[in-house]
Amino acid sequence: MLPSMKNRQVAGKNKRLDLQRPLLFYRVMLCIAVVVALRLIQVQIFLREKYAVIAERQFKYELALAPERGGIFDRRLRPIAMNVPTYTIIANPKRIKDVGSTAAVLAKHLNLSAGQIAAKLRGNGSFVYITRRASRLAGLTIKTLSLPGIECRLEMSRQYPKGTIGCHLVGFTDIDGKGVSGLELAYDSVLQGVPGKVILQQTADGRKKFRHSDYPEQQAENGDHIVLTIDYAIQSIAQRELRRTLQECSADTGAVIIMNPNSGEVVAMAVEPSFDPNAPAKYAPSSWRLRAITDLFEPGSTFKLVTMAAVLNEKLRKPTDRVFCENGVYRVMRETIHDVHPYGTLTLRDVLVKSSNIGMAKTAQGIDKRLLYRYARDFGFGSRTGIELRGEEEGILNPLECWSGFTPLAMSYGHEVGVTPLQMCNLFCTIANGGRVMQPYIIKEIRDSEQNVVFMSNGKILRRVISETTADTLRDMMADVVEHGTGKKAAVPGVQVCGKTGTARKVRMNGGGYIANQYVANFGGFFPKERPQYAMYIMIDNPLGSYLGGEIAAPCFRRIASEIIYYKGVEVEADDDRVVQTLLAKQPRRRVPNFVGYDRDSAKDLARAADMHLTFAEKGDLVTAQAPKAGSYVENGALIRLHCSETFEENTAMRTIPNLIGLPIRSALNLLGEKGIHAVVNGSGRVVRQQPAAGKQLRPTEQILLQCESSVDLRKLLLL
Amino acid sequence: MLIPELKRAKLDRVILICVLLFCLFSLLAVYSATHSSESPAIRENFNKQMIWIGAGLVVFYLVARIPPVVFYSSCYSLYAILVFMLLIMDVFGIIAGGSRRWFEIAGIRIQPSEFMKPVLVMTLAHFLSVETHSPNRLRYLLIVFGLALAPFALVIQQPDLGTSLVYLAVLIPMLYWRGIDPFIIFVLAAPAVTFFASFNLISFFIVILLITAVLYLSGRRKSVFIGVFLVNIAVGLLSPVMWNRLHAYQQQRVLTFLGLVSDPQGTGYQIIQSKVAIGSGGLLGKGLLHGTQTQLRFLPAQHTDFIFSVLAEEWGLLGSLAVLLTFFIFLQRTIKIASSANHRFASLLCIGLMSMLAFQIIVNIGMTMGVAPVAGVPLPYISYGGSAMLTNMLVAGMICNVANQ
Repeated sequence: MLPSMKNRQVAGKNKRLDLQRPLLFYRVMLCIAVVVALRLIQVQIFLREKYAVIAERQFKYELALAPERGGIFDRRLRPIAMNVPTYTIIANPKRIKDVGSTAAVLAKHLNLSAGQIAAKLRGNGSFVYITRRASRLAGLTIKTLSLPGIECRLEMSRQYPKGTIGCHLVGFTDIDGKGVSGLELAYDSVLQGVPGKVILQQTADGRKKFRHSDYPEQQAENGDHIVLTIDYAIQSIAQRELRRTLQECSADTGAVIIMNPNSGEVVAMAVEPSFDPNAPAKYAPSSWRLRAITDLFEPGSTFKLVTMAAVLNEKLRKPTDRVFCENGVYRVMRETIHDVHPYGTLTLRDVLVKSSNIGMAKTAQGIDKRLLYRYARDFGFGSRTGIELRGEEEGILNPLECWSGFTPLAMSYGHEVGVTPLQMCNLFCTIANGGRVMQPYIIKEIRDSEQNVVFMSNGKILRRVISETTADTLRDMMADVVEHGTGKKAAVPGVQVCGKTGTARKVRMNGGGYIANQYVANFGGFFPKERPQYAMYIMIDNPLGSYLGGEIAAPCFRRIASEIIYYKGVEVEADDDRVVQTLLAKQPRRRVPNFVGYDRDSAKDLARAADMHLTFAEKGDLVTAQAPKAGSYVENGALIRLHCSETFEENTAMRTIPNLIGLPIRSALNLLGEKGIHAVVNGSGRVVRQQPAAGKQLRPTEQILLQCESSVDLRKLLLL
Repeated sequence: MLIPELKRAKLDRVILICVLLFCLFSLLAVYSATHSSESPAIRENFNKQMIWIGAGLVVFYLVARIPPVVFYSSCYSLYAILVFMLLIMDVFGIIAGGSRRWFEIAGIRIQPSEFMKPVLVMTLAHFLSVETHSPNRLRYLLIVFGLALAPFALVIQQPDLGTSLVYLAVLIPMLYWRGIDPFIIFVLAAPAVTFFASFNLISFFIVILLITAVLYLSGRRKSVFIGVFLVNIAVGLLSPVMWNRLHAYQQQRVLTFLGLVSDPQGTGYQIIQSKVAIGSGGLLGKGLLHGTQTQLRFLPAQHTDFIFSVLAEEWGLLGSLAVLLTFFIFLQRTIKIASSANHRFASLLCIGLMSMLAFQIIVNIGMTMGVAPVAGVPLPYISYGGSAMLTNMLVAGMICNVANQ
């Protein structure tokens, strides 16, 4: 019997209470269950939306898909700005176990010292860039090492394969690929594309991420490509010649613009000083300026064309009208006008050809000043040309109310106006194409990432300023300028060039007069005369020594023009009105002689004889290598780069003699030139005998003897 | 009688089905909560839980066959052993999660406070089942309270608020079942209510008014009336004063310990994450193993304290209501067994076990929905945990045992 059974009778003592108690328990339990169930319904049904949003916010992880930035190409689709894959190396200092060894390993593959890296790895944060734009090789190598706490992220980086060519036009981006200057900035929204995104699920600690099938991936839209009107070849010719001209006359800055006068396309726009857009920070910010549109100056005599165009177009004067040029000094309204050379009476035509300020001023004195203002304005002065580039200046063309009595006279020969090189170039285009002002443009096409053309620009005529006949007359006069006027040095043999020189005193930037002995030399022109295809304007700021536009800018014009003709050919109109395509061999191409093994002075003599320029890469007297190689062909005046060493003793390595038997003497000499071996040649034709024989060693000072014959006896060759 | 012969077990159908359903829920939920973890130790918990459930079912079956006399005669000694174990916990216990609750024997962790729950219920049932031990007499009432307060004091300083509260939670239902005068419960509970109400003048006033009304209606002696009234007034007036003499950090500590304030980094964060998990589950849930908050591990303590949130997120409202309903049927059945038991010990034992389980279920589910403080009470039969699973199976076995009588 269980002990508890003794109490059995007690259970029934209070029947009422016995029934009441379980009932209370049932009811209490039911109430609680109902309350809990209601709360569940509230949370899971009525508050579901709210909590679902919170949940999503927690686990959703948006990953941006970077679009690829569009490229920038020249008119023949040669890339000027493109993207290359690079690696960004990121460290999480908190997860680095061994700072010293990690830094050492990284330093081995990156262009950084172990000390620099170690300093970064010791930082406090959990994210630090070790380097950005590491090469693909370095990035992949580090990735395969899978160092703890080091992450390698593939990123597309902007690269400019042409270096300084077109640098001002293209501009550059920051390290994150946002445009900072040039077209990269102006067309940033076109180039950058639209980023896509992927929505992932992440764990609470954020360390793992998963694909989420509920959210479709949104692809990135790659940026559009920009095709420029620029011709890379002509652009590089222009930049090279501009730099050379600036070096020759020790000028500060300069600009060359080459346009197609019939369409308004800018074919080249060179500005100095220039920079390498791959490393813009290494250059002064002032070198980033696109001076061809941002810098104002007084043009001087080139502006006489505006005055001349005005009087001729209004038929107020004829080219044969005579003007007395006051023998070089003209006092008027308490001002004095000088001519470079004193002239007596000149025809209006000669006033332009000989560039007489006095003749021009007196012509302007006789006409309504409003006319001069209107023509200057209609040619586009005092307003922006509207080219797609940023930072363009509108120039200075004072409103008529501000003009003094002397203003029309000063303006007639290009003073008291502020112009940009582009405005001036457009003036020459207008005359070249028969009197229409074209809209200058630099973007030929915009293509989407599949190379479909989405935008194509065509030449846009803004207005007609002068009649065809006036333009013809001006062209005649300008041809005279080049043929026997101030612009003789711009003449290109075989092609009729029209042009006009200009020399102006440099205006103080902060206003108030001119800077003593500082000038702006400029020259504008176009060719060929009958069907102009290229208009070019050159501005050289503050040359030393000779400062006349005809002396400084005109030769630069000639060199560029002749190279363009050589490179492109121009259509010239034959006498019988047939248009023929003529390729002008402007200059004979020259063979590069061997400089290796010579001392500096001998090399210079050799270069002078061959009409070549030399740069020496290192100090030292003995030339050890050269580029281009001996035997290759270059143009006149080409630059040869020579590597030198300090002493003869340094370069005593023995050279192995190659087998030259059977080679034409020219090939044999090239081969020897590359190795820096001097040869004494007897005869001509092919090498039949050499002394010492192939495979022997030769000191640098020793020579090889070559016997040549014009026809080779095969048997003799075999016997040898 | 020392080795009682085992009876043929006739398991109560309802209890058995409920227990098997709990095992199923537990396996699914624990698997879902552990399989995606990065920690191998946590993933291993599913295998452990399978073993515990297997062992628990054996315990359930065996306990259902033990004659009740064994419980009746052994409960005092078991009580004494467990109190002793809790006493030496400070010396031999191991610390985990900032609390000293376990002994480690042969690599298995044993939590005596967990086994203390049914043993305390058995002890109280034994004591109260004696005819003379009327809870309406102060002497016996004090002994009953003493029996509960001893393990309460030992466990609350481990610290383990959740378990220690279970010891107190079984008292009032069992005393009521034994036939305590409800007025005594009222006299005991009134000062506690007054304490919380006293911080607000209006609520204090209303509570005092209610107490006065109950006292008046009860028709007790004037001395009792005045005495209870004055005690409550005194508690109401003194407690704000005493409270304000505590330093701010002490107040904060007390409130946090009681779960009355949530610190946003710890418990508050857990509650928010739990509500987000439950709420975002919606009507039909996100599907087994597809709950974002669970699988991506936003939900804290998901295989232990917040296992209900896992079920609610992945199975939705329908699933969580099903779990709730199973619990409800299980408890209702236990009340029925208690009320139809043919002797007082069995009846009291059954109602005590029911109260013990009900308290844990309500506090746990209430916590996951932000209506009860975070006290660290696992969900019976579902949460991961060996000692708790064995204890709860033992409890189910005892209930079946009583139902067999």
